[in-house]
Amino acid sequence: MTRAEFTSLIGGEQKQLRRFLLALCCGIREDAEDLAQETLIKAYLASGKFTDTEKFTAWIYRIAYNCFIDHCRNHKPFADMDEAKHTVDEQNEAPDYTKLYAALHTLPPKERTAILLYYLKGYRVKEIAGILKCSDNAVKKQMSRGREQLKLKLQ
Amino acid sequence: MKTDTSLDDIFSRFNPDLGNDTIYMDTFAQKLDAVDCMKQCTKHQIRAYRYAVAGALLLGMLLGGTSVWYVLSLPVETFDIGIHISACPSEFSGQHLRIIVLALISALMTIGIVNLIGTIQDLLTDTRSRWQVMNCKAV
Repeated sequence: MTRAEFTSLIGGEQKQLRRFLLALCCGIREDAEDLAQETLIKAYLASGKFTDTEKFTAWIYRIAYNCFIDHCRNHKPFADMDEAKHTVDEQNEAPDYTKLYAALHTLPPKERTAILLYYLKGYRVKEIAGILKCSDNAVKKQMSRGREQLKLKLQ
Repeated sequence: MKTDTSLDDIFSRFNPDLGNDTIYMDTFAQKLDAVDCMKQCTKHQIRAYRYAVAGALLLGMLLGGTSVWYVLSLPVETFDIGIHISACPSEFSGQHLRIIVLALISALMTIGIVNLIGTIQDLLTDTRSRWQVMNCKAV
């Protein structure tokens, strides 16, 4: 893949990717932008060997997920909503998002990723399983747990 | 899988402000320029190492071959010093010493060639890196 092809594909996807990462990082913009840059640079470095442009988007999200997991090793999820809310920049975020970010913050990384890939990207279970490198049943369990947790926190 | 309209609504309304796309892509293009520059530098370094290894091999074979030929062409008597050591059952013959001399010359030559090639390469790499840094737009 040439640089021009890569840039063209990224141009159409970068906004959705950044939106996904912002939700994944629960509203912490610096972390989300760092992850976005890291994802795109890693994708560019590996793009020379990538030929299947139809699976490009899933591949990018796979890289993003791996970068996010590396990032999560240093940041544990909060158990308490109130504690989680303090990490969100409430002054600059819409009130709806603050509550959503705080609720997402209480989910473990895999559940959070599965939920966001489903609701923000519209991926099906099989596609999510391919990105998270786990079975379809595991994804269904994660999504079921994640949904229950989110509904509880967002009531 | 059951659909969940409440979460669907929440996420469909999720549209945070991410700034200007053009500015973001321009900034990203600058970062890609820096990445391309680094890739070029790395490629040049790898090529330089390959030339260095090939040069060291040729030089080693040349000098080594010459040394071996020279040492073997000398008469055995040149190396015959006949050391008598009570603890040692056999004395060192000229042939043994010739082999030891060859081994020492080989070791010294290897060290010399490696150091020489390494020094030349460091000087060339340093010069080339400065030239490339000056020519890389993004750095």
